[in-house]
Amino acid sequence: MRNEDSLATILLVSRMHSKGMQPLSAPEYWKLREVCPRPGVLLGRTEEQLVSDHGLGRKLASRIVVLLNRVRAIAFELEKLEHSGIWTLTPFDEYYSRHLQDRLRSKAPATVHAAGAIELFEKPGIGVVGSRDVSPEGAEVAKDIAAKAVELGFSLVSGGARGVDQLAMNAAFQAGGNVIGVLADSLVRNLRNPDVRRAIYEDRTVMCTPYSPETPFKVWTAMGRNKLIYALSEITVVVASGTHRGGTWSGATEALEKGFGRVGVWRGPGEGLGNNLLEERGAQPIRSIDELEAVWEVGGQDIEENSGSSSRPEQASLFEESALSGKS
Amino acid sequence: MKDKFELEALGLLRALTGDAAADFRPDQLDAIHRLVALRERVLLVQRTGWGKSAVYFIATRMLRDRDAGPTLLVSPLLALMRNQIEAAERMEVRAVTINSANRAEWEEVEKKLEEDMVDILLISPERLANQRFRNELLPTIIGRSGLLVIDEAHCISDWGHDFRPDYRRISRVLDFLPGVPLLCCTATANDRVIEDITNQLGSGLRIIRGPLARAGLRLHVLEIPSQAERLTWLADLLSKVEGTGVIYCLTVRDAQRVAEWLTSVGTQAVPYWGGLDSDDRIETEQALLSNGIKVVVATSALGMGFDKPDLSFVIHYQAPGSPIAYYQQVGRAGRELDRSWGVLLSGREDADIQDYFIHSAFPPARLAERVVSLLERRAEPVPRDVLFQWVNVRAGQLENLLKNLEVEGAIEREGNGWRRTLQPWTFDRNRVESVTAQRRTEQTQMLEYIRANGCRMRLLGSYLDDADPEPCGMCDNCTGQSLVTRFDPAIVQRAVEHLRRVELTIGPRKQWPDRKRIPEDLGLEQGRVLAVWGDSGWGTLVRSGKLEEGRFSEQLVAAAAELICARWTPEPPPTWVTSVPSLRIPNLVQDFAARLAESIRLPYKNVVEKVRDTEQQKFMQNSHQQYRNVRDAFEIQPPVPLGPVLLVDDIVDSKWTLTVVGGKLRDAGAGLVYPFALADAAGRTLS
Repeated sequence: MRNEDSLATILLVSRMHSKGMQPLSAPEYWKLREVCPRPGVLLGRTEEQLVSDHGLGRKLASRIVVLLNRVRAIAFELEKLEHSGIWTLTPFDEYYSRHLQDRLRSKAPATVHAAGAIELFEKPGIGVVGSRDVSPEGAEVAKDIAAKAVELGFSLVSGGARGVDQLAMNAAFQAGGNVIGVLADSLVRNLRNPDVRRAIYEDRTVMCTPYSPETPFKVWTAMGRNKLIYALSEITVVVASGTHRGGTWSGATEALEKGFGRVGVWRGPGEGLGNNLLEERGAQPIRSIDELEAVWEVGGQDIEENSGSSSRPEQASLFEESALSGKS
Repeated sequence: MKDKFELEALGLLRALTGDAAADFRPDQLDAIHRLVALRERVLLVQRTGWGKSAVYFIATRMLRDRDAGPTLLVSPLLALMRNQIEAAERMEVRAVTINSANRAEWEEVEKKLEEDMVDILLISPERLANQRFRNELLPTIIGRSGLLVIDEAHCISDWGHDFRPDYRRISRVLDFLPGVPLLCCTATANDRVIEDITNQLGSGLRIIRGPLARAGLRLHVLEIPSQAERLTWLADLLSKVEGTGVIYCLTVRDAQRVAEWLTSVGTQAVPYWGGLDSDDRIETEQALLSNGIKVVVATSALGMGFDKPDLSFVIHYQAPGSPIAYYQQVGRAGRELDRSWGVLLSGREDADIQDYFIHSAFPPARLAERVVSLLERRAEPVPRDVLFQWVNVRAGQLENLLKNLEVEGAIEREGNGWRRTLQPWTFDRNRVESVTAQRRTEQTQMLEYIRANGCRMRLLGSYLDDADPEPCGMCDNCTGQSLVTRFDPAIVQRAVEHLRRVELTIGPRKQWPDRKRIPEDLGLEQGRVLAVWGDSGWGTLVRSGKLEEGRFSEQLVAAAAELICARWTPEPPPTWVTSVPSLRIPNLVQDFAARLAESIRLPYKNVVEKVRDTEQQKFMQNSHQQYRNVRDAFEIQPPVPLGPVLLVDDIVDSKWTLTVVGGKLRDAGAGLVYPFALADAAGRTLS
């Protein structure tokens, strides 16, 4: 049987079948965890018991009772997702990345839906992010960084959006490496992409989202997704960023301010207008591809020998250009 | 001294039964207590009629009174639960059902559910798998936690004789439902099946188990190899036995044949199988329930949930594949009678049919792997029709394959099509091998039961793992009495003729494989087949004519002529005869058709020519493949006579050869085309 803490977590935060209910936000969830480290004990409790035994406020207690009560409806939903190959991971599951909890703290998503090689969450990855409208030089840089990451045995972590994201992910995949895609919207729809499916069958890709698997794209979901890229990566390299605007800029500055993960910034041909400002705010400058190895500093331990580039010279693309998720 | 809980439950039992002195069986109260007070998961293994429904109705009432959501009951057969629903109302348990038959009431039911006016919702496993239902109705219905009841829970186990893929989905859902009270019920499960259910539902399952052996059931076995003699025996018994009953057959064809036979000798008998419209099935069930007919001749489709407590006899025309399957069917007899009959007739064909079922239970590995890899290459869901073009399998086989793959998580249904899931999958050879080995063991046990000298009920009890079953004192072996009769040769002769005369019709195909309508002026008329390939009756003669003598006998010519002129008499009558040529045995069919033409005094014209060799149609497994195999193989040599024509072939399988040749004949100017074949090859498909 499923872990009760994990199930209770899903019931508390999931937006599936939540009509007329208020699922807990991530900060609310983590706050609850402070008074109730094992949410499984809440299952089957009445509002009275939650107030008297667990010291919860009446309003929260009544919300929680309603949320936990939808257990049968959610159970059918989870079974359907799992049958399709979409796992629902919570901090109580083995493959939920420890980095998320450690680095994002009260912002860590309480559930992550993921399809594919979920064991990649346990291996070190390098993030590559940048704007959708990237210059030709920027595109080359994104691909070179991705290839270098693979060569050094890292997974490539990115957002699956058009532009830098897809270029980097494709390059990593073609070099025979592993790819973690962190999606801002509609995991289910993205999983219909033939290239993505093929990559998953090859067991070298995991696609995940902190949102419900069918959530449509919104600006705030893109922001919420960015912090996961930073948290899942040993370091995330910003290839090209605008200044004071755009998702790349906001994501990078948020990561720098809140310490969600190490931020590196490309300082060379193809960089964006905001790159130097990011360096000023504390991002680690990278001036050539050859510097990467030293910057990443993870050299060797915990990294599996990568079977990569030489043995798989001709890999198909992970994404057809602009096939995925690309909203402009 | 009864405690408060027990008094409350007892009051409900008395209201439910309408009997103020009613008392619980010990296990009933225990089960209710575990569900209501402890919110446990319970597996209740008790014989039919023990009172399992009292447990879930009373538990529902008590849980509802303790503020729980409505109970969700999953059962394979709902149409017949009306009596139970009425009983539930006596203790103010409001029960509703949602099924494909009451779509018009869905809105009202939904409204009641929203207003929390329903205490128990009964639903079929298929409905639960339906996408629209799950998206639109399920959340309101079961949004609130409450009791979950899984009826006929042995269907979860693929060791069980009656595994249902939709049940596997339920067991996976249960994985996400810790802490929710669950009741699984079955009347047929041995240690092995119980262990399998426990493995799937988790170790927290509390098993409450009683003896399954039945009192008052007189078990008899008769080995009568010949079908004609078995029919004779049935006619004799049914003219004497009182009350109503069920005769089980292994195949649809046998069910039809036995029902026709009994009707022809004066016993009201109605055939019943899974392919009938649900309205027809319900009508037959109701007629039997109200004693409107004496006997229903059924395949195993008349199964779970059919509940007639005063059924006097259950007779098996052929032996089922396992003692547990046999027990479940024979156990329907006489639950509320002091005496009832359970007679197993064992025939020559039993083993062949059982072998077929065992053999076809699992798709071959290569086929499964091919379908999965084909689907894997497509991102979009693939409709069934397209799959048929990819793989050469029969419709039933493909259904079976898809169900198996879905259970294993390799594929999922989306809209009208199937798609590969994102789960890893490999063909599970171990599962196939171990289940097949188990089926073989059961087949041996069935033979052991047939040949047994000791008490039959005790033997059945031991297969069910009952603790210390006692001799029943009333079976043929306990009493030393046998139901053997002398067969009246005149009746046997009639039965032989009946078996020979089951001519079958050839229903004209209405669509090409791409679903386009066949225009009326190119289609066939309704046709006839003399026999079933290899079957007793004419089928044996057809086979030896084709495979051994290379010529169809005069007896077959005479029988065909008699069928056409005396019984069929198509209108307007054919004015000439032609035949479908074969390159493999060049003159076989022409020769027969010419002799037949002579005997019915029509001219024979050889106008159909085979221009390309084909694979034998029997190797083509579905419409797309069969059509493709023959569509360019024939040409018509003019001149073609104008009138209606009798088109003769030796064996009809998919009807595509006849459809293609008939269409070309009409295109070339012939009149109506009446197809006729000596034998139907569909003996390969058994149900």
